[in-house]
Amino acid sequence: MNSKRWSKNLQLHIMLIPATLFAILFSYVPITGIVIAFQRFIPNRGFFKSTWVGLDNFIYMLNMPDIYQVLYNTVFIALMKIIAGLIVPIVVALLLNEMKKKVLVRSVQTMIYLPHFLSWVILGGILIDILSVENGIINKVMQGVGLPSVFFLGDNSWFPFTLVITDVWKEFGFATIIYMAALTSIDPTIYEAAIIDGANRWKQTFHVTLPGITPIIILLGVLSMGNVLNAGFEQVFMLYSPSVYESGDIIDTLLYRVGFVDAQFGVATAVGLFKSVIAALLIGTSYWLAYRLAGYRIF
Amino acid sequence: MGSKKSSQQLATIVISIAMLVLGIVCLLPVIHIIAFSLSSPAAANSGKVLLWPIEFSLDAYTYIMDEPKFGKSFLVSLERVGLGLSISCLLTLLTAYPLSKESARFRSRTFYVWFFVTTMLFSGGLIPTYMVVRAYGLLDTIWALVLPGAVQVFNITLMLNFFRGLPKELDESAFVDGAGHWTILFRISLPLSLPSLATIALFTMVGHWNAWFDGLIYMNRPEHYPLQTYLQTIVTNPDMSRITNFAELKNISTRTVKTAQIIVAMLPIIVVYPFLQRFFVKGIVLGSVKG
Amino acid sequence: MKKRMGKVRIMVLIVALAMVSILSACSKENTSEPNTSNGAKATNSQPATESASETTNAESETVDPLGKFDPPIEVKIGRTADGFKFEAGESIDKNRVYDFYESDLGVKLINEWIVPGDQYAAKSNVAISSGNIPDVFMVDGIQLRNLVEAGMIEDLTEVYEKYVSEDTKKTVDEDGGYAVNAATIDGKMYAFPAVTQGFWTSNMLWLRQDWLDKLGLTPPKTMDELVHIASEFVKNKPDGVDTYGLGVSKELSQFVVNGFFNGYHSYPFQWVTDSDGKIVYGGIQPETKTAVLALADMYKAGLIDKEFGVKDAAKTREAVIAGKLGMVYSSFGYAFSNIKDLYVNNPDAVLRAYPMPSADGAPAKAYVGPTAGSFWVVKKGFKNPEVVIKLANFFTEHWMVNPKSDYGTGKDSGIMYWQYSILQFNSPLLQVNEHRRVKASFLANEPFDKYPNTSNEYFYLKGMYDYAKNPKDNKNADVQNGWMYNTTFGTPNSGAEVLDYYFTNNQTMTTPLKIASTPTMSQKMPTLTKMEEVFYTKVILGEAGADDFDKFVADWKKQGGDEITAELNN
Repeated sequence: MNSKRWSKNLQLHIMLIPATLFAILFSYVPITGIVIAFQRFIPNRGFFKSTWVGLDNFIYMLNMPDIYQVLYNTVFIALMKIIAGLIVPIVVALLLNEMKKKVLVRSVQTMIYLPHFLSWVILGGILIDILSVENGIINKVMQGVGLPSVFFLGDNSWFPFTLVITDVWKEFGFATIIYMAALTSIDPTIYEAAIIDGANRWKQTFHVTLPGITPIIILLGVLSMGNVLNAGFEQVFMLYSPSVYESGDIIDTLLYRVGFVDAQFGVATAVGLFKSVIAALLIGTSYWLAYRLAGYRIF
Repeated sequence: MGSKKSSQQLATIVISIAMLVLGIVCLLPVIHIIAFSLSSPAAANSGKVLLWPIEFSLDAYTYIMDEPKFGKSFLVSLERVGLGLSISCLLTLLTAYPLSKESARFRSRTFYVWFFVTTMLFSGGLIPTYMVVRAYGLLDTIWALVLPGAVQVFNITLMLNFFRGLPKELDESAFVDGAGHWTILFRISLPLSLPSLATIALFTMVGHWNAWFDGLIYMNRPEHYPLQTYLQTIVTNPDMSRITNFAELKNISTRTVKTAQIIVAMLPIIVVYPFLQRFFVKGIVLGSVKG
Repeated sequence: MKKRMGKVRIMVLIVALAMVSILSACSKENTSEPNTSNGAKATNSQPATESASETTNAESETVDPLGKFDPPIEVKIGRTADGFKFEAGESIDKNRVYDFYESDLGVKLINEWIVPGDQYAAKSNVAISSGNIPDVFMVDGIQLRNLVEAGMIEDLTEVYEKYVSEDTKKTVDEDGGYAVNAATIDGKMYAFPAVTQGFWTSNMLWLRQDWLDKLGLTPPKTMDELVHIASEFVKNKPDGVDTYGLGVSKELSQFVVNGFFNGYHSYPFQWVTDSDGKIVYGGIQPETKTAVLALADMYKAGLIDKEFGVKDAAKTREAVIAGKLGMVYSSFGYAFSNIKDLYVNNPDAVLRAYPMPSADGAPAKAYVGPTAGSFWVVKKGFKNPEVVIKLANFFTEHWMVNPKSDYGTGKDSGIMYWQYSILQFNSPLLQVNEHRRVKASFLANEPFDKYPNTSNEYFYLKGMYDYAKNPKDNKNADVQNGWMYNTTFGTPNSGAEVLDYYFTNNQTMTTPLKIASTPTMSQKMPTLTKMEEVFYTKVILGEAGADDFDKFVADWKKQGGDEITAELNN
């Protein structure tokens, strides 16, 4: 029996060989480049002969102008994006699941999937028009129903929310696909049983559908924690302005303005490593929490 | 009972309308961009175009597609997506399957899992990766675009979770019948995971189709660029302190070209999507097992 | 259990071994001699140590700046080739200009990589950081510094002195030595400066002439007149739509209204020389306070877009094209963005450039950007470092001093062969001279094909005639181009004409800086710029006032401004 399992497990090892090789060749070999984070990197000297500077690059990062405000902005914007980006696709997927007409479901699915392919460079110009205080359609509608006008792109108390909403709008359709795939794997007989038990649709959703996709929700939730320091450079860069630096300046835009992304690989790598470590800590913690609280190992 | 049913129908209608509105909110900007790209530059640049082209013109599209580079880069992209999709999907399946086994059965699992997850979290960054690709002699070849990102850990974790959702009795009974892991993977698990495979195939495809920066870095000549790299670099902003020859600047509106570029780039992916949607059918999984 | 541990150990060992071997391969390559990237081609490169003697042997006694390399040498370059067109059978790798280099200079150019202009920085950064640069290529100031520090490029001090031709030297020195200074680090000249023309970026005032005429207004000489015109534009809506007075967008630090500030002798975001000859920051001077408060008054009076703070320059251009804006500050080439569509939409639209009005009697001086932002360098160990100087001489000789029509622009095809050349640079007066000649020919009504060699002037002049003949035929592409050429190079009041005016009347102001940056500057300047930008925006929006200026100045000084100023004056 033991030798049989060994031979069976050998098959599993063999299956893993190609990906392992790829990971070594294209991930682990270049990962050693992380040492740049602790160097004053000088090209041509290789990774091990540049001057070692210890934590200087990290200290430089933490001494960057307004770094704490910027870190706060980054985490605030990113966290809201993570939360909204998790909930909205689930809700949409569940609602789509309730629709009866297949044609309609597919059309809606295709429509909401489109914005993913638009670039922020183009959307930036469109959003300035749509969100304009004087002529923007949103403000006109708001005035129509008696609400005060809002300067979405120029008001520090609104700007982060504008970023979150527009980002979620752009990406939720694409994220919905995963849940739609997950929904297909729920055993229809469970629904049948639930209906016989007299469960209405509301109850079916809560007791059958939602539990059915919980593993995927947990998985995506845990993985998305890795983005807590990625607030979306391209979007912020296109939409922010001096009026909203206070609430909209994030690590990546700051680095860009400081001008070190291109020239100083030491600092850039240090920032990258800092983000990776935070991401690893958060993913690790949430992985452990998911296991402890939900009894589910995502990996 | 009757009122309950009609209230359910009402709910369905309300949900349908809400979803449709949501869809339209997503669709309108796309329509605006299409209208923009089909308008004359003069109309587009004065900000008059809303949802319908003004002074219809295909100039932006002919500008993009007239270049011989367009055809070449389109072929490069097709090759890239073809190779990338098959390699990545195969690797994902081969990796996700063993990792979906329980640790109790497959003891090295934990090691492998963290081995792969680490690569998702930490990366050496642009320069080390470039140096490695160069050392392997892949620069300026299609493999530079396909191989470095071939192991998609996100897709692997997704797939392994889908695999885990499959009823365990299936492989157990297959084992009893003497089937090996290879047989189980390709004869049982894979056919049952078509929706999830379609999902990761879509992600991989979109990823390869949309990527442009690696094309720029790894390729040394514009004729080797994939489509997105070509499109990204088609409109360049002239530097005023450097222009010596104003006659050279084309009569072309950068903004209409940029919008046309987006439409051209998204079209193939949009065409493919409905085909993949066929896989997202409820109940396919267990239905096929029982049938 | 033991068995399993063994397996893991073996795995780890394999991983480690693989990493070590590949890495050592990597680092070996980094430190090795040039040209090893493409195995086969590597053979022709020789160790750097022997090159010096060889070079001297190969050269004859009298140094000829245009002397041919015999036998011919191969030079690998990285370059851009945006939008190039070719005659049948030619390409960027094989064309008449490359053949010309080979036959007349003995230089065989090989394109190691070609990249679109917008992405040149990214591509060259990767090349530099991975230690894999072409023999000759162009870099920016920061890259130059990195290359010198890494010892990756040749010192060109001697070869420059030895090989530079009279004509080349004249063009390079035209800016009073800034360009050569910028290419010099620690007393050694490490690069040939690719002279660019900051002069061409200087601000001027662009006005809708047809609006002025319609409203019976004369072009502004003073800032008060400018404000008056802006308010007339807003009041009268000359094109029938709501109109803004003055175009302002959110990128204040990128000099979108530089000209307005210059009108008050104020130079925000810039370093200037004060009356004592000391270097001071323009953004904290009292003139700037006056200027920014003037902008605030205009904003309050409704003469500036209420939402300028979130709109980018593209939106300002959109407003101009839509007939909603008739007054902007920009460079002489303004009509060459999509502004032409203004005319396509409205045949009556006439855009004219004026020297910046001034708040007082003293003429306003336009601030001029740096003249050397890019540099041509030679890879360390390349046998013939003088090639870069000779290439520059070659360009000067055959494209500037004695232009050859064979390598200029194809007469029938209109294909611009000259673009294939490398180490291009130009005299700051290029545009002005072209304008002067075109204007003279136009006023004398000379046929446009009288001077066949200079393709620019041919097109400009032809366009101007096309426009002059049918000024309302705005749907005709030739006339549209004519409008654009006329607005930029023609007369009266074209962009180039104002440049000429600035030049003739010495109404420009250059940077007093001799170096691109100081240590504190690179560290603190981004904060200070952000602070400055935010502050001006607030003042214009009315959220901060005159009283806050002093606090801003104090903060600016405290947060590193004083330190930088001290460094610059040392």
